[in-house]
Amino acid sequence: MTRWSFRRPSFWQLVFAVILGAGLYSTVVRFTGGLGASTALSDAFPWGLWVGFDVLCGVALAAGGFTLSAVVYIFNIERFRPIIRPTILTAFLGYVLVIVALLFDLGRPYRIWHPLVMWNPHSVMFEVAWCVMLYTTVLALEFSPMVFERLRLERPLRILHALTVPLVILGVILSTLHQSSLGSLYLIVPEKLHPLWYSPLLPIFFFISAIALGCAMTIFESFLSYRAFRKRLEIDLLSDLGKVIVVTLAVYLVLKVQDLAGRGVLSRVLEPTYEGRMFLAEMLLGVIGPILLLSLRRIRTDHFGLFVSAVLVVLGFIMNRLNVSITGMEASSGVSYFPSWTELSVTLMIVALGFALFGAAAKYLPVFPETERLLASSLVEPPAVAVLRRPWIGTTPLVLILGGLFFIGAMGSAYSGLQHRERTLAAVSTREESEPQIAEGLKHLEVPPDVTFPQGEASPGPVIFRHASHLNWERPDCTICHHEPFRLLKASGSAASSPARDLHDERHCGRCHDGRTSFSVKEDCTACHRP
Amino acid sequence: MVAFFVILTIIGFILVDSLVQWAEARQGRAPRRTVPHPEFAPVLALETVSVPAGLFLDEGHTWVRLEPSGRTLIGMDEFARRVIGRVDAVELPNVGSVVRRGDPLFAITQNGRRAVFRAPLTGVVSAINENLARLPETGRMDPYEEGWVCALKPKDLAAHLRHLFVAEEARAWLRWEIERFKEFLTLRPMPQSALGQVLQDGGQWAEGVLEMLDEASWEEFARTFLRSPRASAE
Repeated sequence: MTRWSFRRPSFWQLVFAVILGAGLYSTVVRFTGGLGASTALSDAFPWGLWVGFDVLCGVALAAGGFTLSAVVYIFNIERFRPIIRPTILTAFLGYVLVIVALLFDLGRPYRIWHPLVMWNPHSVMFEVAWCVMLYTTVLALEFSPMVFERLRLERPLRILHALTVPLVILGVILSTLHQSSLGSLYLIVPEKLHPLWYSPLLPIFFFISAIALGCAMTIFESFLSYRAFRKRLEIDLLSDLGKVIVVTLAVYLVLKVQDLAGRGVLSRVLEPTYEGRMFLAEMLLGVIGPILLLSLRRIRTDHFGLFVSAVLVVLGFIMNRLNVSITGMEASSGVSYFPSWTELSVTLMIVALGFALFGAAAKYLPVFPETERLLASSLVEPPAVAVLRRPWIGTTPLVLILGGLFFIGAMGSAYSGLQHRERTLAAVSTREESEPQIAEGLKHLEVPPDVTFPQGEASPGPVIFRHASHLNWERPDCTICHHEPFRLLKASGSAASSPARDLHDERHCGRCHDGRTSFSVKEDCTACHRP
Repeated sequence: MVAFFVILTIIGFILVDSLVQWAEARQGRAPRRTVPHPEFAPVLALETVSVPAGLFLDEGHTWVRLEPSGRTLIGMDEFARRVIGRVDAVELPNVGSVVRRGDPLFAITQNGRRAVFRAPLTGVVSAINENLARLPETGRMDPYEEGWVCALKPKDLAAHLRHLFVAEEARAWLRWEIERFKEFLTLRPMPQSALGQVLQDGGQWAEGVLEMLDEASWEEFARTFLRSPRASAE
């Protein structure tokens, strides 16, 4: 009798196949039909789920990589070394998937290389692009020893070993820059982002929360590998990471409250509005809940407790990034955004690919080295206090009650926020319909000071350029001149050299002073040159 | 809206996964075992019970592995594992609790019967194998790796190690224990159904022979082989 070696696929393998199928279909739609056909995005709401979840959260996945490598290689706390490889792997996959997500989200993905060549150092996007690129390179190098070990290539391994410390330092710097620059990205929309989230401290908030998330992700992903490979958990290391989370989140909480109070919007947290409730949900879920849970030693040293706390941190963090990128922007845009199913399926596919790649790497590469146990030197010594007394409530029920309380509280808050959402959006759209109050705005219009161009050789006299007389006071528009002709002329009031020839040409004054739009530069010199 | 939706989706996935895991555990299918379940229950040739040469054995049928960090891993040895057979639950110590050599360290239950294993060393429990709590059958095929029970940060390690067997001594002692166990079995009343070949025929005992024995034999086994401390009666 022939025996078929076909194994019935497991439940998750089936789910993976379905997700992959839907995702691939959406990919085809996206790249043939464009963003308009495949997403619910619009000109009023250009950044949706792909940016908020795939990019912002994907980058933050990698935060574990820089946190742990800083701990092990820079602060030299060696006992965390056993968990560094899976963390690096997560970080690397996180970044690779961010780039995949970017290819979906960029309107013209084939121009992704532009920031490499066309530098615009004034743009936050420029910094973000370079950070992504450099840090992915660094992560690839940090990850490559696993591949070389597997292929038994000695020479590259030796080279990389020598490079480890500089690489790690570079990685920590780049990743710090990148985490915070994603916050800076939102500094440029002060009038669009809701004041509960808009803060000059956004880069710092993004950075601090990324550290907490990095630790939580390390815990979470240890549990995943434990679930998938029945790998032994380094519970003592993980519970130490729990301590780090408590401290980091506490700093975050204090800063957040200070910041809200300083900007005078603290009272808006408790207002029954869409944003207020969502903000409350995010803080309960990702900050206050985990601080409380992880402060209890019993929960911190318990498997289930650690897992639940880590999940709370991760969820709260995702909520924060989505609030910044989507919730906080909805009111000002006046558009109701909800991702289309193609957006959802692409996102699911990217996440599923992440899981699959991690699984494959863990299976075929030395991610969890055999010698891991040997390297786990000088383990934490638990306090020598006997815990023989049976506590009044088991740890698992305690975790369930506390974690459930915070989760349900947060979700309840978010749900009650949704009740106010329609009203928020409706209020905005009626406001949009009324005429823009130009007269009101003109009262506050300030034009830049006059610019004096000194007398050149062969010139009848200096020229004083008045902004006020070059402006249409009915509908002021600076970009008529300041997009091309005078973009390089800073309004400094003292142009050092005034090459008259150039100023007369059609790229400067001559553009309008051509005898048709206004009097020509060739007519009366004294109209401009006052001796 | 989107944030709310995403959070609920993730929680949904986690819940579905725990359901899947629960279902797998219920079917008794420990997911992705490295060692496949045997098709038939193997006949236990007790002589094949082994111990890795580098492990220390205690008279209470626990093993101890030293790690360079100074931490020790502890589990039950293959003899105990195979003689006992099915394990319904493992009672693990609390992380952080202080145990002295000879104190009860962990216990296994089978059919409501309980066998307490004594601590081979003095120290502080620094980690426990949660796998065992969830899937007590973990490590049935591999008691020295997957079947570890807890980690101990030992005290007075050097003094206590002298009481443990290692290498040739361990193998010799284990052989002696096996002979003693055969004698023990011959004196026990066996249920009729179990009677096939007997030792006198050159028969071997099936794995989990203790499952077939009565309460008194179980108690006797715990007392004489596991050297269960008094506290087992608690």
